Parts: sequence; structure tokens; C-alpha cells
Amino acid sequence: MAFDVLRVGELARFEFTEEEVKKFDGHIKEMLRMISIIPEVLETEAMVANKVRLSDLREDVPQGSWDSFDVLANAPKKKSGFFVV
Amino acid sequence: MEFDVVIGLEVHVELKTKTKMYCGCKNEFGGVANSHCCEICLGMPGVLPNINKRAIEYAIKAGLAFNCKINTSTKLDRKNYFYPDLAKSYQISQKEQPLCVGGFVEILLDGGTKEKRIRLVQIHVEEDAGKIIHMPESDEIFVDFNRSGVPLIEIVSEPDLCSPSEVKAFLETIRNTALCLGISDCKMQEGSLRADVNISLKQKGSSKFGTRCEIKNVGSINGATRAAECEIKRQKEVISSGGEVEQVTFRWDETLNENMVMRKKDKSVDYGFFAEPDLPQVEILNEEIEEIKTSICELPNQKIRRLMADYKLPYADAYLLMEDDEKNAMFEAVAADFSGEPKKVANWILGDLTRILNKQNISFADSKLTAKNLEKMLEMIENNSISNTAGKTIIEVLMKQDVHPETIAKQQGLLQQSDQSVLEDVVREVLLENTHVPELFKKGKTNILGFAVGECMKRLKGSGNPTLIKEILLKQIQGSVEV
Amino acid sequence: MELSELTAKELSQMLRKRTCSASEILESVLQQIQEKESDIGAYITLTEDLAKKQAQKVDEKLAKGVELAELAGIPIAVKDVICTKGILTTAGSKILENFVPQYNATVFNKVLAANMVVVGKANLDEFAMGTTCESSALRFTKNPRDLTRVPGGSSGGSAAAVAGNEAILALGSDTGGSVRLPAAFCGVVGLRPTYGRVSRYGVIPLASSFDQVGPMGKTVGDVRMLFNAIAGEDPKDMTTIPNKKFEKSFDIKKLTLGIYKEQFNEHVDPEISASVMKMVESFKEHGATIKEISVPYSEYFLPLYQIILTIEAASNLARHDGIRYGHRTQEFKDVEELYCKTRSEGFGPEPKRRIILGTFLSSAEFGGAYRKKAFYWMQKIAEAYDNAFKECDLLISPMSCSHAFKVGELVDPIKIYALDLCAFGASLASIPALALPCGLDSSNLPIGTQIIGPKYSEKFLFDVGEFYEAHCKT
Repeated sequence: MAFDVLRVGELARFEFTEEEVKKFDGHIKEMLRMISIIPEVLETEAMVANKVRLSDLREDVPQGSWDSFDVLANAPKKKSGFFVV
Repeated sequence: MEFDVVIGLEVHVELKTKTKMYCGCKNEFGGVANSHCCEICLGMPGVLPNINKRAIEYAIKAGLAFNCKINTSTKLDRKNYFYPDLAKSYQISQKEQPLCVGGFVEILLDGGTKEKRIRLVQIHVEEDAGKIIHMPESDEIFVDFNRSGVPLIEIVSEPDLCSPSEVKAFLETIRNTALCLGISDCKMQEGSLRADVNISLKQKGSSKFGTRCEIKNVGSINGATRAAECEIKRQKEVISSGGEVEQVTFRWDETLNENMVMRKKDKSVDYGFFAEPDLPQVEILNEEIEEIKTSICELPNQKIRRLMADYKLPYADAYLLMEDDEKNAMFEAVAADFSGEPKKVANWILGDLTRILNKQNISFADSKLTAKNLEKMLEMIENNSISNTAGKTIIEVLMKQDVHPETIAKQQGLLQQSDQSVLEDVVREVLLENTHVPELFKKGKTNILGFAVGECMKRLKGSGNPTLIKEILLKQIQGSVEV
Repeated sequence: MELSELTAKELSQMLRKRTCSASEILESVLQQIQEKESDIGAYITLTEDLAKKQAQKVDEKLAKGVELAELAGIPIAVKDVICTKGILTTAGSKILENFVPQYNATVFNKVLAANMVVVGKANLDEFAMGTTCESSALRFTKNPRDLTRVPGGSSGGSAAAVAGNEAILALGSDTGGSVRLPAAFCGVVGLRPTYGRVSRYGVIPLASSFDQVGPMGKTVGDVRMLFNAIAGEDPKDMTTIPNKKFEKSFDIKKLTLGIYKEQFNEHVDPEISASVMKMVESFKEHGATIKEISVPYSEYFLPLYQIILTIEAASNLARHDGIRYGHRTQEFKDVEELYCKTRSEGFGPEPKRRIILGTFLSSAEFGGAYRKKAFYWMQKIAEAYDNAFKECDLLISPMSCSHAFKVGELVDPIKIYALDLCAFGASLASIPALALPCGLDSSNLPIGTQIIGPKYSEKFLFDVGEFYEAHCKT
């Protein structure tokens, strides 16, 4: 369980200054120490908040689509109706 | 060194629901870019997914058709990664409690004579991403989110496939089954069916699996087959030259006909799966599963095998009939009453009828041809009342009108003269006027008979039964005496 | 007394009696804003024009004798994580500083349907991550009670707006105390509802498993009215639950109040403990039974909360990539650089810290089934509270260990997280908790207490809180 700021930053799509790396490294290691006090458990069935019946799911009826003008309204860059990267 | 080829497939099939998996936007191919989108499938801040019931039902149908166990309690998981076409930067998929577990796909090989069972790991539901278009002139990429959120099922096979032809058979079975179930339009040119092909080579006799390479997102069955061929060849070459296969991810290039490297073992991919907190677990009742089961039609490979066995049809014919419900229905209706071989019925339907439909650019439903009339026509050919050629004319009329074929034959003078004495008289006349015929025949030039038959047909104005005429000619030439 | 100093209940009655107009109420609030907002800084965006139109419409309808909802005409501040169509919604972050949603959050639709008057979007810690409101990238909010101190967080702007009479009501959001702590620091009332009772649709998420929109106001009665207006199942949010009738009804003589043992510890300022105990005593004097109740596993609360929160937040915030909305870096050579630069420029240090931790905890590469383990313990904690509620009707505790800190006083992130120690339990157990003021300390700063109840007990909590306000408060 070796924490590596740069590698995790890569996964999360961040670039860090040296200062940030040092700062985060310290903070995160402290939090990991904190987390390590939680006892291990044998059964780890994830608790799911609630259940829904198949019959209660959404009906397959079209609704709610936007005009493409609205779709692109917040786009930082757009051209000919597309988002541009 | 001898190798076993080990292939596993992950097939993505787009479900043809009316709306997307998690929102009410239209699930429709084409259309103006970014015109079937809303805040949910665009991954805007604060939005939440809403499960489409029909998508789950279709997925259950697929699971039942492929003999899976349906989990009556199923949950969704987040698969996290960054890509411009992935609106939320995670895909809602299933990892731990997928909808369908296990199962198998039975494929037909070697012209339908051999069956093989390909085991499945699971079938789960997930959502499609948007579409990226690379602009050739610049570095820019354009993104269209119309496809973002379209419901998919992913069919994951065990690595039971051993050859490119098995890959082909597997994908064709998936496609035909999905079409038969009515859950997907399987239009590969629209991207409704895509496959990831995983290939490794195992040394014969060894239990150790080789390094697996993956060809991602192949959009055609032929493409997947050829991609597999290329990769198998490549891996064999690497090993034979003493090298080791490294893990590589490819994409298949349709135009170049080769696998292009996408990335070597990717450091940057870690999906960080966890249970989707925004969605509840879906509970399915056994009665609901049973109801879906009753809606499942005869499956494609079942149908092929039945047509081959019950009607003695060859695999190719059975396959074509399987692909077309209307033609198959007519075939079985006609074959039920027809006294001759069912193969003849198949020939007419798959041959002339199909040709005429294509030429006139009409659909099966648009033609007036009834099973009853076709059957009657085939009987008339069978008992020599009309010739095969006459049938080709009559069928064109039958496609436009519901009328007894005998009526048409009479109107057009197509009834074949089969009266023995009339034919004998004509033959005698022709032989008398063409004395070279028996001479040449006795000398061994048997094809002079064709000329003679032609002369007889001329005198009968084309309405003679050529088979009978030939018989009578032979008798008269050889001078056999009637008893 | 100024109209802006009154409660929603009082103003609602006055509107019905026609002794004042909605426009007059708004005018009074706007006056406060004009005088104090440059000091308090509660708002990121003020929606004065919209508010005036809304107030006018209410007055027109009332004049025609149209029957309106009880909160019609009441000015409200809306925390800037709640998406509001056509109105800037920033989550307190540079990465969304130009984001104008094309859709409303469900709770905002309810605010509009009730004809409330929207004063503006309230400041918060960036992406609701924080306990002091100092992490906002866009605005600096101070505690109206003492402008040298923080209002608490993350719903600091919402609490400050109410406390400073810059709004009569406010909507905040509570993940692990983000409504309750600022309520305590600012001396107002705030509720964390049972998880699932209020829709999260259109609310920019922090931790999907914990987030709830929380009503805030000057009195318990006001918060009750606002809760009733926003609660309810939402087909757009599949985690909402239908209301279940809570079997117990409030009767002070039959009430058993549990003193939450683990939360009266050595970290809590003695003045605060004393104030809360005074409240407890006053209940006792009216006939309630008091018991000391222990709820185990407190030492795991903070780490468990951090595990689930950071994993979910990291995933929730991954969508901010500069492609469809929000900030985008100016120059980049490829997609990867677009992502890294956009996100590094757009997110502040607190989101970065939590995203890194969450990414680490959920990655297969680094191993460990952290989240599953955390959910196992969450289940255990819910059971522990269930057991506690067999012994008592409600739990009472201090809302925080100290009063509002001075601006800039707390710098260690772990210490900042620890401010919410009293708050995590209810979040982990998905149960409701009400924060209400129970006095002032020797620095004249508000002291907040917390009453925690079982699932669906909001009405019961309100009844207890109103009883306290009516009969026990000094």
C-alpha cells in the first residue's frame, strides 16, 4: 500500500508543483494512518442503500432532450454543432 | 512448436430501446450531432441516472436465450476512466452482481454439421459513450454525445474459441439471436455490434496460458475474423523467432486490413470500480423472468438445425431462411402441402422469388404471392403440367395477383402438352423430316437430341413437356417396340 | 423591528393579513445586503432583479385573493451547489466559475413552485469540502456575529445570510455536518434530513451516499416549514425514499432524552458542554427523562467518513475535464494535457487533496477493499444507533467542540476535518439531526446543540426543538 503522489495524480489527471507534492504527501500519509485503525472484516458485502423492483423502473418513453443550441451553451469550444477538443 | 489458439470475446450489443439507459433521450442513430442529449447523458453537474426498464428486460431476454442464470438481485457499478467521449468520466456498468451469469452460446461449424458450445462468463448491462471524430486537417477532435448513454449489453465469453472461423460463427450467432429476439437491430455499420477480441497462444500440452493481446472495438464480423487471423499469425511469428509476446492493445483498421497498436501495457488505466451510490439494487421476480421467457421465439441455430433435419435442406439454405422470417414462413407453409422435395420449394423462394423482389425493389409483404398459389404452381411443375421455365413467368404474375396458377398458364398458353399420343405424333414427324438425327445419335453424338427436342417444341409452340418428348425420341430412335 | 429581522412564520402571517407586502419584505432584506454584504460576503451571486419580479408576482396574486403556499414571498438564499437554470452555479470553485445550468435542481423547482423569493446563490467551501467556508475560491464569508470569525462550513454563506438577515431562510447541503456546523457557529437552526427524504437531483455532489439538502432558518418552526416544502420522493433521484410515519408523537412528560456520552468528551469546550447540559436540565424540569447513552465505534467515524467521501467525490468530480462546460486551460498539446492543466488550474487544494485520497483508495493498483469495508462498518453504526434509540427517543450532544474560530486560525486539514466529529455519526447512519442554538458563551458567540433522531423522525425533532424555543430558552 505504498502511496505515490505523482502516480495517483496521474490517475486523477493533475499536475503538481514540488511544493504541492510535499504538502499532499504529508497530509495523505497522515490520513492513511488514521484510516488504518479500522479493523479488517471477513465479510465485506457492500451495503446498498435501497432496492427497486423491476416493475417500478422508468418506462421507455422519450422525453427531456434539449435543443443542440442548449447542449452546447456551456461548451468552452464548439464548432459546427460539436464539442471540440 | 505446436500451439493452441486461445480466443475470448467481449461483444457489445446496442439495445434498440426507444430511450437511453439512464435518461429519456431518444436512442436513435444518426440525426444532427448533439440533438438527442440532455443534462444526464451530458454528465452535467448534479445530475442522476434513471434506469430504463425495457433495457433490463431486453438484457434478461438475451441472458435467457444464452442459457445464463438471471440474478434476481442485480446492481450497478462505476467504471472510472478519462476519455473525451465519456461524459461523466465514468461508465455505469456491472462488475460484482451482473444481471446474467454463466451460460453458453452454441455455434454451428463446418456447414452446420458440427456444434460447439462456447461458455459465457456473464452478460451485463452498461451504457455507450459518445462518438469522437478526428479532423484530418487539424489536431482537433470533435465530440458528439448522441450515442452517450445508449443501452448496451456486454456478452463476455470464456476463452473457449480456437480459430477465426469460430469467432465468425460466434459473432453471427450473437447477431442472429439478437435480431430474432428483437432486442437489437444489429446494424454493424451503425455500430450496434462491436467486439473486443482477446488472443493468446498456448503451447500444446502446456497448462500455462500465453500473454494475451487485445484488439478493441472491431465493428464488423469479417473484421473480427480477419483481425484474429492477423494476430494469431503475428504471435506465432514472434514466438517462432525466439521472442516473447508482450501485452499489446490493438485496434483493427478496416481499410488497411491490419491491427494497429493502440497502446502497450497501459499504465494509466485503473478503473477503480465501486458500487454506484446513485442507483438502488434492482430486484427481479421469478414470474417476471418466466414472462420474458415465454416471449422468446425459436432461436436461430435451433431453427437452422430443425430446417436441415426436418426438410433435408443444406446448411446454406437453412441459414438464409433463418435470416428471413417471412420467407421461412412461406417455405414451411408450402412444404407442408407440397408432394415433392422441400429443397425445390427452397430453391424457388431463395432463388426466383428473391431475385424478383430485389429487381422490383419491393418487400415480401408488398407482393401478392400466397403460399397456396406457390404450392399449386410447384405441384403443376412436379406433375409436368408446366415446365420450370413456364413457372418463372407464372410466378411474376402471382406476385401481382392472387389467382390460380392454372388460370395464368391457360391464359398464356403455358400448359404443357403431356398427352402421350400427341407427342408421339410430333416426334415421328420431326424424325421423318430430320433423318440426320437418328444417324448422328447412333454414331454417338447424343447431344443432337437437344436439337430434336427443340424442333418438337417449335411444332408444339413451346407447350410440350420436354422430358416426355426426350423419352419418346429415345424410344423411337432406338426403335424399341411398345408392348 | 425590521421586516428582515422577523421569522418566516411571522412574515407569512403578515402577508396573509396584508399588513406587509412581499416587495416590502424583500426591500428590507436588500437593505441589509446593501449595508452588510461587503462585510459578510454571504453571496457569490445576487439575483436582485429576479427576486423583485418574484415578490411583485406574489403581491399581485395575493391582491387577487389567490391561495398561495405558506412560504410564498419569503426571501431565501440558495447554496451554490444547487443548480439554478439561467443563474450562475459555481460550487464555490474556479472550475465552474462561468457555469450557467440549463436545468433546475428538483429542490429549486420546489422553491419556485412555492413562490419563494430567491435572493441569491450563497457562498460555500469549494465543492462543499470544508468546515470553515475558507476554502471557497470565489468569495470570503465572515460570521455576522463576529466579523473576525468564520461562519463555519461548508454551507457558510447560507448560515451567514440567515444570521445576518440577508435572507429569511436558506438551503444548504449537509454531507458530514455542512448544514449543522455553520448553523451552530452562526446561531441559526439547520436540519440534516434522513438520507433520501430530499431530492439530490441537480445538487452538485460531494459524497453521493451522504449528501442531503438541508433547510436553514432562524427558528425551528421556520426550518420545519422549509423542510415540508422541499421534502418528498423524486422520480429523477432513485435514492429518494417515501416518507414513513414516525410512530412516536411528542409529549415532554414521556420524552426520554439520551445524553450522547462519546460526544461530551475532553475536546469539547467546557462552556459548550455546560450550555448543552443546561438545555438538558430544562427538559428534565419539564418532565423529560434523561439517560446517558453510549454509541460505540465513534473512533471510526472520521476515517470511515473520509474513505467513502473521498472515493465518491473523486469519481463525482472527474467529469470536470474542460470539454462540455466550465473552466478550460488556454494552451495544451493533447487531450491528456488538457485534462491535467484544466483540473490543476480549476480545483483548489482541498478538492485536490480529497480527490487524490479517493483515487488512491479506490484504485485496484493500490489494493484494498476500502469502500466495502467502510460500508460494512456503516451498517454496524446504523445498528448501533438503532440500539441507542431503543433506550431513548433522541440523542443530544454539542454540535461542535468549540465556538467559531478566528479567520485563518485553523490550518491543519486534519484539525479542520475534526470540527465535524459530532456530525459524522448521523451521516454514517443515514439518520436526521437538528442543530439549534442553545445560548451564547462568554465571548458572546453562539453555542449550538444537536438533537439526533431515528430515521423519519424529522417532525419529532421539530416538535422537541419548538418546545425548547417556547419553554426553555433563556
